[in-house]
Amino acid sequence: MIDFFASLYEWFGLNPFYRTDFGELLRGYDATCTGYIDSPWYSYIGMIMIILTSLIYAFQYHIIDSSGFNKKKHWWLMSLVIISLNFFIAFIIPFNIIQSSNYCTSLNVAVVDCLGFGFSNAIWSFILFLLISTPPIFRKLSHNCRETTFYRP
Amino acid sequence: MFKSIKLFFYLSSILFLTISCGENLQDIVIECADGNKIDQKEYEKITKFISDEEIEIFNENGKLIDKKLVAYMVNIYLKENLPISEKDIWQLKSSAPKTQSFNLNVFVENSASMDGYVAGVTEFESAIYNLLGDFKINGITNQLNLNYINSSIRSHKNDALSADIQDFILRLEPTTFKQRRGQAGNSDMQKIINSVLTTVDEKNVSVLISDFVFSDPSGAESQQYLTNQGVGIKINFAEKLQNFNLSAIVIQLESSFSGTYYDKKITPITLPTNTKRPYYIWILGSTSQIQTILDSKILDNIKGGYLNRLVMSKIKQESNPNFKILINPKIGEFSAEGLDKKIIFDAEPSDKSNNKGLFGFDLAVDFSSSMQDKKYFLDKNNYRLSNTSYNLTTKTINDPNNISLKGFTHIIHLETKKIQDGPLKIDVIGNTPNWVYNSTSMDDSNIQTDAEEQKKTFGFKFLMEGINDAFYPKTNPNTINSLTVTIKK
Repeated sequence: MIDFFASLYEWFGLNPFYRTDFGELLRGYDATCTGYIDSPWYSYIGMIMIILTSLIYAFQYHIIDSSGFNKKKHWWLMSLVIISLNFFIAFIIPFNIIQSSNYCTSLNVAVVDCLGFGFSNAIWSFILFLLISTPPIFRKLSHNCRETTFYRP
Repeated sequence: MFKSIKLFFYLSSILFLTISCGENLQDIVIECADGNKIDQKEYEKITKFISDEEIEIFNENGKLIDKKLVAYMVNIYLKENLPISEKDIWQLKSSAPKTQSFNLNVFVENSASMDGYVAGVTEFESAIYNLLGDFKINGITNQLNLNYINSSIRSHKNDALSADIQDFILRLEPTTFKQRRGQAGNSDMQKIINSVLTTVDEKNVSVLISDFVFSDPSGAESQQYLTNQGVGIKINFAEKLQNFNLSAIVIQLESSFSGTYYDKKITPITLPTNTKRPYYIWILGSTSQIQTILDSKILDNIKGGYLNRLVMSKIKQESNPNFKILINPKIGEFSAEGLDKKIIFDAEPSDKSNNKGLFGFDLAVDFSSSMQDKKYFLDKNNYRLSNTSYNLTTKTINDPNNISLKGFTHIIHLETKKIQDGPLKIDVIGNTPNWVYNSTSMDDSNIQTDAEEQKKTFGFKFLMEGINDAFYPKTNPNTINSLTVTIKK
């Protein structure tokens, strides 16, 4: 699972948003620099991103499920919430680790890497929201939002 | 609607679990630190977690290595500022047999060339007094027997008490030396060493103290003499090694010297008062006896310290010290994925302008369990690499605050311009270290005025090469320690 999320966040090896060493921290390289025995943050944050995005999707399409909240502007509003929350989560967790120095200090990491990772997580959450709300597979189960996508109504 | 709410709660529960899951090894290790002591139950809880989570990083050949785990735990506690050290952590008791105590036979060479070391109160006397005192009170020795040695052994006091040691030191004066000198005013080193060597057995350790100036007693200026002495010493040691598990410690110290020095032609030269001159303490015994002496740390506390130390021991089996590949610093790039298995994946040379085309990495190695002096591992001549395209440099670890280096003693830096797939074997070999050559004089005729020459010992390398060849024959690989790193492009 770590490898799956690592390849997603590192954009399949392109790694454009943060340094390789930051990736090692997220893989769970421990504070004593012994190996990958610390929390696998890639998996945790990846799972949180999927569940949180699904929850917000479920909240809009199946809980609220209101005729007054089924326009594309509402879709974009919810996507903004998803992006913001996922950015915040992916930023704040490694930021706290770095601030508390609870990581292998041989790794070259900085706060700017946290921003990059937050950005990467935000993009993937947006893509996921797009993927689960655009095809009619899930949204057809909704009463009032069955036609709600990013481009209509 | 009801189904949707159920789904929402279900997903929320998973989210909560995901956020709160993260109990890792570090958490368990910290959790067990309650009471600032790790008892058997807590230690077993940690090992169970490692086993359940299939953490293999502390394993060797599928078996948990307690030393590695304890080192990790100590690092975590240090990072968390918890007052728990290695001794506070329960560990399986070592089954190593306890070494029996032994007699210590001390031989102070008293040829005329030694007079200068005992004129007045010198560092030589203080260091020996301190050393013998420590041996006496440490409890690792039974009897302490004090002797002079020259053309023959002259016993001063057997089973010496503390007062006898004090008396022995007080009597270390040129006049006493002269009275007890025996026939020869100069020294036949091979004979002296052989006499001492014969006293060494499972119950007796010998300490030989001398300047080890190695000139031809006839006064002839012959390198042949030195070479022959070296060969003779090699044969004596080799014979002893055939039927005894011999080890030797050679310590180089420095003391004020006031008096007459005899050069390679046995010409007496008066050195300036309090000239600093090297002298040596040799300790000969079985490997277990020598290990006991090293473990006792007596030699680390010699008054005034020492310049250099070398331990030579019969190699039975090469040892594999604990080491790790450091993720940083590095030259070029590599993946950290296989580092815990000592594999460097995706090795790529640097494309930066200051070291373009170079590839390099660092190893943190723990040589603390080696009998050898720490300085030995700083000499690149004492290493042999399976791939000679690598350049090796070493340094000791001096940063007590760097948790990632805790439990390691040395950094080995390796770099190359040519990355090759496959294992890179780094061997520490039994060798005559550089300090021996730097301390050797081949012409001491200018010693009166040449300050550099005053710090050297005439012919010393012949003596040391002779012993080294006995312990580490040139036909053998002589690998003391071995580390293997696999590199894959």
